[in-house]
Amino acid sequence: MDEMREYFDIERLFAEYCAALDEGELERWPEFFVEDGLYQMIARENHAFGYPIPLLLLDSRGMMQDRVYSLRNANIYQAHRYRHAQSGVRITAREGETLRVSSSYIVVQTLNEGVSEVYQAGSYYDLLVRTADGLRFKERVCVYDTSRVATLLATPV
Amino acid sequence: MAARLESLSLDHFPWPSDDGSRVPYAVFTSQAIFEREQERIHRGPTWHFLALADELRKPGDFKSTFIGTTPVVVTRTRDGDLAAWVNRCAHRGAMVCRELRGNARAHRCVYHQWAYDERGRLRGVPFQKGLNDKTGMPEDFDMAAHGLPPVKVEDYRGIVFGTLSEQSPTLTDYIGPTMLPWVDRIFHKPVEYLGCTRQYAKSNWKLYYENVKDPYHASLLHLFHTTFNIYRSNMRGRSIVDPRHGLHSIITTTPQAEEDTASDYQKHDIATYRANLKLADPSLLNTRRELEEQTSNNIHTLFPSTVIQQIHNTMAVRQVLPKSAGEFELVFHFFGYQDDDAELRRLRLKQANLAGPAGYISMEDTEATELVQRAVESCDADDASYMGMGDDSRDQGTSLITEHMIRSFWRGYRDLMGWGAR
Repeated sequence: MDEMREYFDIERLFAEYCAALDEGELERWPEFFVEDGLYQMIARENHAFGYPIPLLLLDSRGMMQDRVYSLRNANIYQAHRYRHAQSGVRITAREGETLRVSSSYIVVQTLNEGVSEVYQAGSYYDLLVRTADGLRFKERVCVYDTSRVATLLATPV
Repeated sequence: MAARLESLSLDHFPWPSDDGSRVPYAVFTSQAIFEREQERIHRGPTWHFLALADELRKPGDFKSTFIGTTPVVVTRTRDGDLAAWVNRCAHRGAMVCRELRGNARAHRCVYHQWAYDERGRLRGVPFQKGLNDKTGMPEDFDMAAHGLPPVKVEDYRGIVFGTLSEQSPTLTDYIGPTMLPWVDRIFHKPVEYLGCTRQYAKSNWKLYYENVKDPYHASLLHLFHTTFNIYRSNMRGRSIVDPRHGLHSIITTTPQAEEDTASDYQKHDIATYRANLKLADPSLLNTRRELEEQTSNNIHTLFPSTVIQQIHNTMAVRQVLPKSAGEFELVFHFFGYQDDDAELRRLRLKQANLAGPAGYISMEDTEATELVQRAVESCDADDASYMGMGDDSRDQGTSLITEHMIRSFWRGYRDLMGWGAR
């Protein structure tokens, strides 16, 4: 029963996370992380060879809020909509109050012309922690297979 | 009457002016011009970034890349030298190496298993002597005459360059006395490769070269610094071109002592300025002083495929790979110094947020080049841009509000393409 409950809580967190990004509610996105949480995107080709350079590395909720503020007010990019499909959720380890969880994702991007294309495929490697507000990310590391980013990456996946 | 692009003769290609300030948009869209560039520039007497030497540490280490559209593999030989070859089997033209990087003593074409060593020398041909009573290769078949086409390669301070042309000068002559000290400045001690990020732009590669020679756009397109009150156009700057041909150039900015420069923005009514807005987490910009002159920006372009970047403490070699008239790939090869302490290394990784496909102050570059490409895809042969900003005879290479480096670039480009000003 406890394990079913765990999976249920994880799925609920993931569903809210995807909905926030897919509906363009970027301001909600940092709230899925604890205050000193880590969000990182790294190409599979770097990860596989042990090279550390990230595409994005935000190691506090403040940095995530800066990213959102910058996307809203500073950066120039095409209007776009993400659509997440996430699957294969697995709990890979339990460490005290935290859960290690991995899953696969595909993000389809639609631009104003009305064409949808697979923008990115990859794996999420998460470290989740229970808080008073429910499960939150202590870490979300996105290891993306689609090493050739189409034009640019503005919005986190 | 507007001339149609199809009627253009590449031997008499008209330019509206000789000073490089007006560029016919056809150079961004014509496949015929693209092919002439590949022949005269990329396969011509130019040197191209292939790798950082640190990517190839051990004998047998290899990396697949390109010179222009030509696939090239660069390797560390068993003797510890560097070698490179065109990744095209001498037999039937198949791609031999199919991995991005790895370690191998031999490279075998999968089609008929012709095997080459790490220098690209042919070492084995299956059934060379025939099978049973059937004959094999001709009696006079000479392995040495059927190696992979060699690419000349040179390592300068840990940056590995290659050229496909026998006519190329030495690498240091190619970089030249004006630009070499700027390479030395960044590569003043051994560097360590940290990984790469890639992006693919649906625009012509020269639009990106214009972009990295254009300090005018920096504070106008990239609003991150101005939004968070970090960058100002009146920082001390340089905009220097290689006087020999105008094709290499460097832009630097160096922060001056604290001063209130916001008024310039208010005066010119530029919409990006918001007083007092600060980053919630400013750790991103905790710059460590590590260069004699701690430039905040160093954008150094070596024609036609290399851009050495230092922005605060994040450093990278950007490799520009044309794919067709309307597409190019941009690969950021990030590096630090081998003697980085843990804190500095962490800072470099964090500042990768600034530059790269998702970078706060670089993501707009490919957006801008694509905006141009989309608008010029359909145009007449005499449609051209206009770049008149800045006067180099007065500005002496110290202005950041200038397009003189782009004008020099186009003059040098015309000479290489056989369209030099009369």
